Amino acid sequence: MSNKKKEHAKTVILEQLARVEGEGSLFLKIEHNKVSDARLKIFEPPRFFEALLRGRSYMEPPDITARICGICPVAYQMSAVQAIEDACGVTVDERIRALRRLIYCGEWIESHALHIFMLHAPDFLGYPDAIAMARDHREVVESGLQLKKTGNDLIRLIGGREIHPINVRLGGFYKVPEPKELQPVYEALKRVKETAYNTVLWTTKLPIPDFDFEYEYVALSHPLEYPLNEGRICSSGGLDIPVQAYDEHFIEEQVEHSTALHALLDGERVYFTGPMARYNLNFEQLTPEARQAVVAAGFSPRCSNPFQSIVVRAVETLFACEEAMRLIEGYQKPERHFQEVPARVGTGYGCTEAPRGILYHRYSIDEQGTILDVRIVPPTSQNQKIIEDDLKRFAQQYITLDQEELTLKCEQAIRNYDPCISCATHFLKLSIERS
Amino acid sequence: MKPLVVGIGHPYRRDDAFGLVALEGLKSQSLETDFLINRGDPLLLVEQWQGRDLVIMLDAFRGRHYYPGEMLEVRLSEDTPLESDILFSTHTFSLTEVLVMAGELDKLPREMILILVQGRSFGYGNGLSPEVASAVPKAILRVKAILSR
Repeated sequence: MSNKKKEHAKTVILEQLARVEGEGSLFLKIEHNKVSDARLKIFEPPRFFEALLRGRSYMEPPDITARICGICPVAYQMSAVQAIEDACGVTVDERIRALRRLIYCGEWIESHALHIFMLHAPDFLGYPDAIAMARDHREVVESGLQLKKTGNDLIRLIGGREIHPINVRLGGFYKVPEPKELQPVYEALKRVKETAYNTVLWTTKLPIPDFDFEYEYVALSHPLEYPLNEGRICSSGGLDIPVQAYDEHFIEEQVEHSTALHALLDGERVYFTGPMARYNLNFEQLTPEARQAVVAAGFSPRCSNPFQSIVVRAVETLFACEEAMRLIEGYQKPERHFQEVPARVGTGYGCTEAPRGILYHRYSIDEQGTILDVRIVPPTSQNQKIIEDDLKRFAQQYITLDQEELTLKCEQAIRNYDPCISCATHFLKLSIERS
Repeated sequence: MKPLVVGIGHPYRRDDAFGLVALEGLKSQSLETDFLINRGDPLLLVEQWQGRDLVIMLDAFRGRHYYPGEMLEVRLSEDTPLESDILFSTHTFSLTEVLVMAGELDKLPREMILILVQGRSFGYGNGLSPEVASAVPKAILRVKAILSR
């Protein structure tokens, strides 16, 4: 970090905001003790995945889009297969659906564990990173490693490998596990479930800054289950639409300071997607033990402070452990490891709950299955505007802090969203200019 | 516990695959050891290291003062300087960062040896450069010699 004086202005430049993924910067302008501007600048070049997919076979998106992200490749695979199967009018059978939900639980566990313990917890405990935190909080880091390993093991077992799995295909999987192959990971889940429960209790004791706001939350919602693979797109503001209507309501626009598009609901409303949105809209669908942990921790079923997202991620981690165990207990090997998905002319839509929020895919294909058009909207892209708005409000609330402390607080506020800028197109440099 | 040999690398980034290729060569020999592939998330290794007497890591590296195919053997000790200030990725940790963290958590093996080979090319594609390919048999011999002590 370096301090640099400008004429009539004081600027703090943070060369790299650690513990978020991608390349970008944040600019905050403070005039007469009032925050007048906050801009999340994403300057990582666009990655052109949508253009890359045009002209390719409809069989390829599950493998190609998985490469968009190393931490949530399963989310990309799930949204892709759902959208293309929708275009082809195919619904997979219940056993394949269950196996897809199971691999998704693995991704939630490993992604949330990494963020809770390695990336976000150091903020609350006052350490620069997880390595420094490990010296004083060994058990915390060990808990994170155990949970992450279990999530990774689950992905590897079903997906073939833990990073960029290779076993997902249209209509199902290339290979499905025998029930006995799931037993070791079931035993591991049983062991780490207690760790996950204790993590809920532990996160509620962290020093959480006061920062509540009435957000409009957007998440999938399903009548029978906590949303992962499917559901209607709902919001706390009354939106309730099928996935097919996403394009009519979520309008993306270019802004000068970012290579990632900004999304607005109905072209005007800033919205919030991710664990807090899912939790607020779907608390009742959580598993009994996850709800019980919330009660035991004295935490509310409604949460409007993004700094408490660490608690919500812990609740979702416990949920994902329990859900994965339930799915393994009921697992019956699918009779066919995939069903045929014959190509036909059409457009299909897919939206699933990536660890960071809703991930939308749309594909148009021709009768040979050649991809004609693609749209992919990742969660971090959708949360950009809310991050900027949070920063404006948050910096205003803590404006009396000195530059260094304010900078650290702002970084922490950004990490509430666990942003994956590489997904949205991306490392954050933070500038605060005061005049 | 048996010794563990780990091959680190990416199969489609040319010389980065050195560790994986060398590991394959070792697997075909009758050695009383565990083998493990790591394709880029060293955080997953910590639990595998714990409690072992010996772990050998095979990896490619890029240094300023070495020639392609040059092999280095680093024996990790308390005095080995490890700096974790290079940002590797925010989705995971670098091998150096994980070694520091494992040290903090007392999860390092009793003896950790890194066999490192300087790469020429880390670009897209498969196949090692001739210099790195010629280092593979030397690395295999060296690992066998360490294991047979």
